[in-house]
Amino acid sequence: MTSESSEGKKVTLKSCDDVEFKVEIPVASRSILLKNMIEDVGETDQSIPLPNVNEKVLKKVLEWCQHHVNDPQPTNDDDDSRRRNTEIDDWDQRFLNVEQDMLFEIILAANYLDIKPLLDIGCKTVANMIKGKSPEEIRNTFNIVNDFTPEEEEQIRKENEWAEDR
Amino acid sequence: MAIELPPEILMIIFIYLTPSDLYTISSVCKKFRSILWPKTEISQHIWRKSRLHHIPFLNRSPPKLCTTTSGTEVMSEQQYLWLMIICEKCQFCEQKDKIKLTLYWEAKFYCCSTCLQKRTISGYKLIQGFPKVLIKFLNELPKMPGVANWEPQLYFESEAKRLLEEYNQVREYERDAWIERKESITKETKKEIKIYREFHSEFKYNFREVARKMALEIEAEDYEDKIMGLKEFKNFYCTQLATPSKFIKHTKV
Repeated sequence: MTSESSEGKKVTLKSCDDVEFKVEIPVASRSILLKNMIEDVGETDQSIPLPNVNEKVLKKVLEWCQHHVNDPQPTNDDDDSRRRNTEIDDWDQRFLNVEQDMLFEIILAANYLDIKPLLDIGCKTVANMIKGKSPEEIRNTFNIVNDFTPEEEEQIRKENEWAEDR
Repeated sequence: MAIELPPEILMIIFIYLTPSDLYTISSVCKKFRSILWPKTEISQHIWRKSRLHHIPFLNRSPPKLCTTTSGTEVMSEQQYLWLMIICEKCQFCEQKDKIKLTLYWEAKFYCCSTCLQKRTISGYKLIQGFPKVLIKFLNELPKMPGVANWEPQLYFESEAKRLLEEYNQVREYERDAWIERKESITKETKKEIKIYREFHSEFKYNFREVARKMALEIEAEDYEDKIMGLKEFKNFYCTQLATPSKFIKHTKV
């Protein structure tokens, strides 16, 4: 299917909370899951249900797909080169400047819909929130409960310094 | 919510972190530790990717050093990274001057000469109660800077202890085969240690630091005879310092 023939043609996506989105096929095809589905099913008037994504998140993800509609499709081969680059471009940075829960939902949706570049910048953003922090600061940032006992913490300290392998 | 992310997503996040951030995050909670700490294929993949992304010059894989009864095993990425870059002081005291620190792959520690001495055992002492046949499997301590009263043979105590334990577990009728296997392992290990010692030195020290480390070595007594003219130079230097009055007179004239 060339981009010219699919231009103007739309597909309907339905979020888990039953909201429908009419989306141009090249935009929806940023998602490998949807791209394969559309190719398999061919033209259809039926909406595609997305049971794992709600309206709010789907809207946001589609905004990203629209902005990046002309990006080249990533191949598996450049996984590494893309990941080595830790820069996030300005538009993406603004796009991901959202509440933490929203950020995680975007990541989960990108994973489910198979949108690798979006998944990567989402994960990079989380990694940047971790960098240079202490364990306690990380727990505070992400609301993680310290489930180690003081004895276990002492054990971890020793393991981290390789104190027992001497 | 971060904690609820599926492991495959956590893995992508972790790969973006530096090795030292990985050390931190593996101390945050049980879930993160269970992914990052045990030596599994997944954990090794994460640490390796992090190493190659963030420290591209550290492109050599961890050494094959850990000896078990069944042979050699590759050192974990975590321990390798710790020895190569994360540990910035003597493993046993607060010495932070890296010129005074040396990495001993034989015993897997990074320490100063003072702390090293406390963890070594002399060949003479070892003979008591230590099977003679095992001595050749031990790594002799490499000559190093700053150690006074150098004995010809020093061994790492922990290594000797581990080797003896291993030997005692071998049944008597299997010992010949064990010794034979051990001989080839020891040969490989010694080769590996030599390669990684050079690699570490190149990786960790610049030219100026190598020179300073060498200067420390020259100060160690047992090098005196091997460097032509060094003894004379030192003697001259010492007598000048020992008799300051003469020195001052000279300068006055």
